[in-house]
Amino acid sequence: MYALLRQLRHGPNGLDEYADTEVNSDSITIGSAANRDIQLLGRGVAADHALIRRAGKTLTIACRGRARFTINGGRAKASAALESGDVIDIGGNHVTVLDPPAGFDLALAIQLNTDIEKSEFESAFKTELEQTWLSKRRTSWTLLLLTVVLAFALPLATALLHRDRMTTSTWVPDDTFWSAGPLSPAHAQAAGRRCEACHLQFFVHSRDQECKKCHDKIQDHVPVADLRQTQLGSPPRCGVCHEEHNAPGGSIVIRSDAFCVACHADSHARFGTQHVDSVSGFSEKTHPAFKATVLVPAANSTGADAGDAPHMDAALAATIATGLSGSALIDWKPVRVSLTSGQEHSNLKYSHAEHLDINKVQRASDSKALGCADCHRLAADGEHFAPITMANACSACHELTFDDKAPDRQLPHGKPRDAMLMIEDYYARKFSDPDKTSAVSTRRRVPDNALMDETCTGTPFACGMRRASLEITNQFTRRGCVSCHVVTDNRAADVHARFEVLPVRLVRDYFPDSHFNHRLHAVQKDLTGDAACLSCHKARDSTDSRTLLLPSIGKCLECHGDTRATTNRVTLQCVSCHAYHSQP
Amino acid sequence: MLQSLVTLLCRRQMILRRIRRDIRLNGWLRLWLYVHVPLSIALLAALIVHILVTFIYW
Repeated sequence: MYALLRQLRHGPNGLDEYADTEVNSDSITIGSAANRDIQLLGRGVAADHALIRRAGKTLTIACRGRARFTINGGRAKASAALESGDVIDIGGNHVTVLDPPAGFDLALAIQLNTDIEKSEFESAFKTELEQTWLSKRRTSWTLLLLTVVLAFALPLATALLHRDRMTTSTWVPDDTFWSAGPLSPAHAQAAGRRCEACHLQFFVHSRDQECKKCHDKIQDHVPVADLRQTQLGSPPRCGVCHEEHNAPGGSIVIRSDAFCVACHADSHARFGTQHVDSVSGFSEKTHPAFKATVLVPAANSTGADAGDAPHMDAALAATIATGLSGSALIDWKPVRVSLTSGQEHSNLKYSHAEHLDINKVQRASDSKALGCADCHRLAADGEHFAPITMANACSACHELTFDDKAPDRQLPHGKPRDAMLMIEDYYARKFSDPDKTSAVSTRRRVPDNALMDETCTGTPFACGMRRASLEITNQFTRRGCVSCHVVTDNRAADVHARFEVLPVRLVRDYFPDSHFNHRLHAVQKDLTGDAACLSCHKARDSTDSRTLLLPSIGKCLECHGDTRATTNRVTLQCVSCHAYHSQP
Repeated sequence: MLQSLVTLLCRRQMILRRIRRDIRLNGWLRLWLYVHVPLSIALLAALIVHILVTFIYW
């Protein structure tokens, strides 16, 4: 649409002047803004006030928003059809519709309102950001709604759907958006993105039941029956000590001593009939002396309380007296004993002092002194040791031969009856061999002078059995089995029923509810190897296997201390050594 | 006389520079509000959501 815009004004010399402008546009815009086709100033003139269009032969004017105009002095209107000669009044400005000259589709005569204030000129231009499309309020509301929807509404909706076992797309923000931090690797693998695996109810702490769905074998710190005898109340829930959503790779165990000391600092007052030593730190004054757990035959362990020191001799006496001879009949019971007065009851005779003395014992392979690791081989966990057996620790040096003339014949270990039968078989064969003389001088080593250097004149079989009986007696009373084992002798006439080797039971863990990493302590300051071992375990001075070779708390305190300890000490916390959950 | 005029013009130039700088800084500050205010409102909403969510899963 070609439009002719003619602006009229009174010149300074009293003559009317006009300035023509040609516009080629689909519509003619009117307003106070500078980019309007017709810029009008004055009160009530909006920046984008109205629009004049031509549709066919019809010319119309329409206002924007709440803007209004009048035509020919009539009422204010928002839109109207225009005809030639109509005078549009907008804020005192007059726009007259003219007959368009040739070549134009529209002609408008514009007479500006000269009676306007100067401020109207300023308001015609945008000088403030508020006058632009920018809006703090609109942006604020948008961001607020986005935050609420994305951070709360959608995760809440997905959380409810997940509880109904419905799945949602991975791109939809679910309740993992609320996660306070990454889960520990094991829990992350088990729970995945299912928050409800642990957080079953809203506004309720994660419950122990959810933990025990997987950790069903976990033991309580205090058995429920014992807990009832104390004033400790109900045990704390798992989440008190185990804090999830921490840094990746970190432990979920809260290692603060405060949790332990809260109950154990005054155990005499709060533990009721449960006798537990008070502990408030790790020092000579705040921590009780160590007590080891040893195994004793049940026949002697009845009535033994923590701190008792049952003696091996008494245990054996009770075992023999009650007829509990034989491995199948002995029930070993763990008993806590003092390190100073307690004793081992392993039924094994062993002198650490002799075996570590190079003048008495040399290693078979290189004739050097035995070392700790020759028998004590650290297990994979770095804390315990592989079980010591005849095969892996003793047989390299100790052969089970019984006749110097048959060095390749050894008795079976761990099978006393088979050993007796082997001895009998050996001597029966030896005495019945027709290539040898029937009268055999049987020199015996038993302290039975009447039988020494006797000559057997009976049948070869009788002589063989007699010689075998003497050797069996020798093995179980003077050398052989009795050298390392505790053997009971009931003086029965039948040699098969006379001797019983008491089973050996070495303690695997003297502190079953505590940790100690031997591998980490293999190097101590300037000590390594056996020197590091022997700095804690006084094996060179031990000639009796009943002696407990365990260090006291004072040895630990040479290097360690609690958080209140002086400097130059490696800090230990309760959980550094103690396990909260009992071993199953 | 000329010296006074030069001095006056210099003072005028200095004041104009200061005014222009103030207007420019004021404009930047007002523009910053269009970022600051909506973000503050959104963060306030996020804070409230966070407090609520903390008690939903705890």
